[in-house]
Amino acid sequence: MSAAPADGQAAVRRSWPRRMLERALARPGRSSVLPLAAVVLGLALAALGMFRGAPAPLVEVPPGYVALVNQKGVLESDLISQVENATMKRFDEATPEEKRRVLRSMIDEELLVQRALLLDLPETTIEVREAMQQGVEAQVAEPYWSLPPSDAELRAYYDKTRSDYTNDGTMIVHDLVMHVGGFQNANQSTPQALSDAADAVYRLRSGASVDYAKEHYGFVDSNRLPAVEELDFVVKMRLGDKLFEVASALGNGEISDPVVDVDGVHVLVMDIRRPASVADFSSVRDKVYQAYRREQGERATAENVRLLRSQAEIILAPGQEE
Amino acid sequence: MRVAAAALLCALGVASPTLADSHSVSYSDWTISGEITTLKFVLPRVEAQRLTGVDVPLATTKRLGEYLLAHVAVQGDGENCAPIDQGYDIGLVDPLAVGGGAFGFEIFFRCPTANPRERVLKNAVLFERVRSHVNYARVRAGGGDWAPQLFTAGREEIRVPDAGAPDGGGWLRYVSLGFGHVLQSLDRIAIVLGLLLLARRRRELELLAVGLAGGYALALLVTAGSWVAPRTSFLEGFVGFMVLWIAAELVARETSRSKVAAILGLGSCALAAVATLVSGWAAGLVLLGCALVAAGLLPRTGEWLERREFWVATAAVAGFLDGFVLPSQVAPAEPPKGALLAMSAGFDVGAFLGAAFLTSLAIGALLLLRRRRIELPRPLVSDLAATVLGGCGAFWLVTRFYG
Repeated sequence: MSAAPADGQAAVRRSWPRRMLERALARPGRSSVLPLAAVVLGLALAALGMFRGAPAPLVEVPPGYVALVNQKGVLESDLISQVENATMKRFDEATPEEKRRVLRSMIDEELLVQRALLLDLPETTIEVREAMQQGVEAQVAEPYWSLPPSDAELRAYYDKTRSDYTNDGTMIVHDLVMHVGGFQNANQSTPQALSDAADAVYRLRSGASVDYAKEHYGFVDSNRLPAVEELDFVVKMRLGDKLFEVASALGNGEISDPVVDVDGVHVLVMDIRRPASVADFSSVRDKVYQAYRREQGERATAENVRLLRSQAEIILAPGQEE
Repeated sequence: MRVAAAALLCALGVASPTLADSHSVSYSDWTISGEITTLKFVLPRVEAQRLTGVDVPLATTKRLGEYLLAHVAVQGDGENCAPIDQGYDIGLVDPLAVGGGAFGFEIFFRCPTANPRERVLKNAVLFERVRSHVNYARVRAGGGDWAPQLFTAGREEIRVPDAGAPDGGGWLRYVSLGFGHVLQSLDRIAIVLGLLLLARRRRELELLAVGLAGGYALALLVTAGSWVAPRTSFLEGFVGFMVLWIAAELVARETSRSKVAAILGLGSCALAAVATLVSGWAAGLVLLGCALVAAGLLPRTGEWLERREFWVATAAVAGFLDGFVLPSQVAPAEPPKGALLAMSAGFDVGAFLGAAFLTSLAIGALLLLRRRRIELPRPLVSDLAATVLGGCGAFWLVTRFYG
């Protein structure tokens, strides 16, 4: 008797979600709640996929920027450095007019860069492509360049590339020639000339003067060289390879053996010889430094290109090779 | 058996690519300054392929430039304004870098006189190939504001008076555009006729009209708020799903609702899994939503067809999705918000009228048949419609999510 009212009170006390749940469980075939929930959830999910947040256009200049040019920002730090470069003053000391002028030029530059990109200049203009190439090369070399090389590293590099730092040798040399078979020397044969020349060389080495050799043996100046100090490569150009090889082996005051050439028998008298020498490290340190940096840059570029090639798809036309 | 037949036809792909609706659009900016008129023209990649028939950017750019030059012109007081040669390696048409998926070109026209009384801008690009093509144009004269304009087949000239900007594109032109959009889009026609097949009473048609109008209004509200931007391809994919759902509903009426729901739901789930991998999470999410809608809706539609909310909600979803067609098409032209709302409102009104016109045609045809005492066998019509709608819907669903 007492249980019925208690059950009735319990039914009254049940919350509505529980009642809904009980109803759904009692009549699962007729309930519309779950299918409706599925439809609503499905539409919501589809809407999430079909729409995305609209990109809001920038209408105010964000902090750290001084201007927006077609939604692209001009950095405040760039303005400060450009004002300081242009006016040679600290930014705070520059006048408002100077700051305005620099900002205007920066905005103009941004507009021109945007126009260049629209015109696809990186693809079509050689100068722009070269500048871009150099920019990339500088960028990949920067990690190397940011660490200054030590003296030991430079010296090791210098030792490895010592031949790049040789000073060219110089000489003052007399080239005496005894012509053979010419109009004036019709009766002179080469063996005779060689014999006379050997005698003359003996005299010269004994202390006779060049004029003596000319006077007594019929030697004349070949006129291939002026009587001044010349660099080795100039002498080589003028004497020819055969005579230069003989000359470069002579020391100060030495006289060569007779040498047969196309125009007769030559004797070389070396007045002054300063042979080629390798410059010492301290005198070419700047050159070594520059070369070291250059090689680092070339190595970085080569590595970068190798990496880019490994990632690129390059298709050559039939018959083409690289 | 009917389910299997319909599913087989869907799988065989009764729909061909020609059935897919093509929103053919391009964009042009005309800047008038003294004797020079600068034209910047942007063609989406799909239009470029349609014109050149090739998919190689280098060849496409050259051919497109030549085609463009032959199909645009400027006249000042009746005299032709000649295009300016921009240098030995550029010529008359300068290709622009306008980002992925589009080709851009720039042409400068110089008029014989510095300030002609009237300038005529001519654009016939693509109209001879695609009658429904629309060029969303902007014209700026003498440093003023951009004025939105339209080039369509039959309106290939815009007259710009010396006094300044030309007349606005005209609200009625957008109404006409919306009207044409529904009549030229097979997926929209499929939805209108499919819902017509589901409806059995006049009251339901009225509810559909209310829902459609409400959907367009809601889309307009969202466009005005600029809170979200549509992912057009997925949105159109959902339209394909709606067509497929109508087909499934027609099949389910005659067979087992739970089986059809299971097939569509599980099929959508499978597509969602693949789409997530191929087209990203958003595509997967939309298809998962489709699966839930199918699983929830199809078993209960028998009861819900009697409820007003069902008809209003269904049409509202269709109207809401269709309401984003113009905003997404015109987005690259970046019209001001006021102009965009006016254009969208005109377009939506036109689309609504187009749907109403289509419905009237269908009802008129039915009345005519009835008057002549020709009775269509309803089960056969229903089966045929389900097959065609199922094939088309499946085709649109798949191509728009994976295309």
